[in-house]
Amino acid sequence: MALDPEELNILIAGVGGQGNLLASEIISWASVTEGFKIHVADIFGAAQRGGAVTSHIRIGKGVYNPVMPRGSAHILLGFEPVECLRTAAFLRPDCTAIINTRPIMPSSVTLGQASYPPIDQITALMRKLARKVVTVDAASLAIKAGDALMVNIVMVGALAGTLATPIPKETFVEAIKNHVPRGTEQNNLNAFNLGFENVQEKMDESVVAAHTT
Amino acid sequence: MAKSNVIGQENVGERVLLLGNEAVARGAVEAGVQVATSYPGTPSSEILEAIASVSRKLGIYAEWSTNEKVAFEVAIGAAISGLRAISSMKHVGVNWAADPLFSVNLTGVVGGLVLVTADDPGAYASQNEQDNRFYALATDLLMLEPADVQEAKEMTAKAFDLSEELEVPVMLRLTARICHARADVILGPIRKEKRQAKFKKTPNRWVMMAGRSRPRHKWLHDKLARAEAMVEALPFNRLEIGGKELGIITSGVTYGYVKEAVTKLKLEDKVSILKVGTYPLPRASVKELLGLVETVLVFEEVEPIIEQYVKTVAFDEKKDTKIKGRLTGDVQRQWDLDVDLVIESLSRTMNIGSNPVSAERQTVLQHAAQATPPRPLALCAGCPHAATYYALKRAVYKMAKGPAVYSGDIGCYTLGANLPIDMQDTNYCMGASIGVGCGFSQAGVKEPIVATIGDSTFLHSGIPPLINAVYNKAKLTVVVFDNRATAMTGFQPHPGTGVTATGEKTRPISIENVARACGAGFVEVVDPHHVEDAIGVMHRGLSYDGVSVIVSRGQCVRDVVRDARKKGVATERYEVDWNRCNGCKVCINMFGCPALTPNEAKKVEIDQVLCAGCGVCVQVCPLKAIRQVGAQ
Repeated sequence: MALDPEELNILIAGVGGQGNLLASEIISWASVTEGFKIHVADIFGAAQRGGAVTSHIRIGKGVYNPVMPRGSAHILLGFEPVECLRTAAFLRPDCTAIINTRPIMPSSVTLGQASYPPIDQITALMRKLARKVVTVDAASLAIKAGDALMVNIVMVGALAGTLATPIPKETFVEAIKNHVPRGTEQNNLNAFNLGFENVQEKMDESVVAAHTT
Repeated sequence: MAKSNVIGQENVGERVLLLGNEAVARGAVEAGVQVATSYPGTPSSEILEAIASVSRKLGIYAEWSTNEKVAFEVAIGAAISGLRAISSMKHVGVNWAADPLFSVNLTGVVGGLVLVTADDPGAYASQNEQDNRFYALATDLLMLEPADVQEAKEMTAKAFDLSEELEVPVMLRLTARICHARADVILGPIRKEKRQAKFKKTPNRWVMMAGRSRPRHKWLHDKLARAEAMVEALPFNRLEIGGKELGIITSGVTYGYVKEAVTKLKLEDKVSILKVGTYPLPRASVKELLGLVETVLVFEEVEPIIEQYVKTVAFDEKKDTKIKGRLTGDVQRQWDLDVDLVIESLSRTMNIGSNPVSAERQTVLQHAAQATPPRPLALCAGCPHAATYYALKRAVYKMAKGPAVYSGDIGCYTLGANLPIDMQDTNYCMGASIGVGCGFSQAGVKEPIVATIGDSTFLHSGIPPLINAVYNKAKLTVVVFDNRATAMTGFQPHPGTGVTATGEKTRPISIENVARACGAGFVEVVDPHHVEDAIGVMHRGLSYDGVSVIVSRGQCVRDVVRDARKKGVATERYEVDWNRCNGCKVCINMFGCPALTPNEAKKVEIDQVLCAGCGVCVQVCPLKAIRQVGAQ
C-alpha cells in the first residue's frame, strides 16, 4: 500500500455524455483499493446530457467534504478544451493539467451567439494557470482502441501516465476490469494503455514526483 | 455500481465505495427493509435502483410507483401491516406525498417507515430549491440529516429503529451533495428477520376522519416530546469544543465545508462547532454552546431553520448571544453553500484575512472566463423529442395563426425552453402543462394552446387535468413526448413500458387508450422520425375543436444506441453534400441537433462522434443536401 496522502484533489471537467462519471468511479475505486480515504462529488446538474459536468475527486485523510474549494486541484483531467477554462478557478498554480484537445461545440457556438476559442489560445491560457500542461488527442486514441466513446478511459490512462497520483498502474487496470461493462474489458484496457503511453512520452522528470500537500 | 453488487453482500466490516444514495439503500438493507417504493427524480433515483438491484436476492419488494403520493401510500400500507418500508423521492416529490404524510403522522405506524427527501439546494436539477425540513416541522415528525455518506448509511438504518420505537414515520433529509457524493463506507451486518404482514383492524387509529383525528394530534405531540428527549443521546448531534471566539452550528454537508474552512483558516482552537443531525434539534447542546460563546454563526441549507430555532432558545434562556446566519446577511440568503462561501463568512465574522489569489492570476482567470462560451443543456443528437418539436413547430406554422402558447412540463423535453427550440412558455411542476393549458383556454388566450408532457409525466399526473380539460370543455392540444422511458432521471421504466423496477414484464398501460378513455375527441399516435406524416397529424390535431391528444412516440436515442451497441448493430452514417449545402442553417436554427455544426466554409458539418444516425436532418434540409453514406 502506498503512502496515504494528506490531500490530493483531482478535478474532471467535461461534457455530459463523455463518460466522466465512469472515469470518476474507476479512479475512486482504485483509490479505495489502495486503502485511501476518499470523498467524491459528481456534479452534473440535471441528470442530462450536453451540459458541463465536473467530478471532484478528493483523496486523503485531511479531506472533510466532497466539493473542493477554488484553487485546490492538484490535477485537472480536462475531457474537453473549453471545460478546462470553465473550471480554471479550481486549479492550484502548481497543477498538472491533462487536456483532451477535441472540442465539443456548445449550442451557443453553433447558433452563432458565442465563439469557440482556438485550441492554441486555450492551451496558452492553461499554461499560465497550471505548472504542467499535457495535451492528448483522446478522441483519436479512443477510435484507435476500437470505440470513439472510450475517451474517458483514454483519459484515465493519461492520468495514470503522469504518475502524479499515488495509485499504481496495476490498480487502475484492476479497477477498469471491474467497472466497465462486461465484454468491453479488452477494448477499454487498450484505450487505457494508449492514454498511458501517450502521456508517458510527453512527461518530463519534473512532474514524475507525486503531488501531495 | 460495481459489477459485483456490494449493496446486498454480507461482507461486514469491509470498506467499499458507495454513492450517498447507495449508502441509504445499504442502510435500509442492513435494517431489514421489506418494501421500497419511489418515483424517479434527481437527486433521489439511485436509492430505489440500488435496492431493486438486490431485491430478488434478499426478498425485498421494490417498485417504481406511478407517482410519489402512490409510492408513499404503498409504503404506508406495508408499514401499518408491520413491515419495514422506505419511500424515497426528490424534494418536490414530497409535495405529492404530503397529503398522506399529514395523516400518517397522526395514525403512526407499526413497522418502521422512512420517508427520504432528496433536496436540491441551488436548484441544479429542479424547478426550485425548497427546504423540506419544513415538512418535519409541519408534521411534528422526527427528521435525520446526514453530514456524509457513511452517516447516510448509519442514519437510514437507525431511522427504522427510531420509527418503531416512536411508532411514527421518520424522515431522512438528504441534499444533492450527499446523494451524489461517493465515499468509502464500512459495511454493517444485514438484518435477516423476515416479518409476516399482519394488519390489525383498529378503526380509531387507522381511520382518520372528522372527530377521530382530534385525539391523535395530542398523541403525536406526546411522541414529538419523546423524540425531543431522544435526540440528545443520538450520535448524530455532536458539540466539538475548540475555543470561545465563535460558536458555529451546522448541519448536513455544510458540516464538512465548515470543518475544511476551519482547518484552512487554522481556527481549530478558536471556534466550537455544534454539528446537528436531527430535527427536533438538540436543545441541551444548543444551550451549552450559547453559554460558551458570545456569537453564533449558523451554516445550513437552505432556509434559516436552525438559525430561528437558536434564537428561540436564546430568548427562552435569556441569553444575549449574537446569532448570525442567513437572516442577518452573514451568510447568503439563498442557494447552496461551499467551502469558499464558508471561508468568506467566517473571515468576515471573525475579522481575519483569507488567502487571496494573486492579481496576476486573477487577470488570467478573467481572460479564461471571458473566452469560455456558455454551454446550455441541449437535447441529445438523435433525440426523438427534437424531431417532435420540429414537426410541431412546422404544424403550428402551417396553421397560420401565429405562434402557439406552449405550457410545458418536467422532463428532458423541458430543454425545449432553450434555443433554438424555444417552445416551452411555462414550467411549474409535474402535470402542470395540461392544467395550466386549461387555464389559458378558459381565460380566452387567443393563440393555439399546446400542452407538452412526457410519457412518464403523463402517467404520473397528466390524467386528472386531461379529464378536467374534457369535462370543462377546454380547447387545447396535448402533445405527449413519449420516448418509452423516464429518461431525464436515468432511464427508469414506467407503467407505459411494460417493465417493472425489478425487470419483470407487466401489462403496459397504453397512453392513447387512457387519453381516449378520458374522453379526448382526437387521439392519434405519430412517429416523429417520419417528419411529414407527423406534421400532418399535428396540423389536424391543432385544428380540432376540442381536446386533442397526439402521442409522439420514438424510443429514447440513448436506449437506441445502447441496444445497438449491445447487439453489435452498426449506426447509419450521414454526410453533408457541400455542393448542395448553401449554409442556410435551417437544420441548425430550426431543428437544432447538436451533431450539426457550421464549419469554416460556412456550410454544415456532421460530427460523426455525436451523430446517432436518426436521419431526421435528411428530412429537415430544404436543399436535400444530407444523405446516408452507409453504416459503421
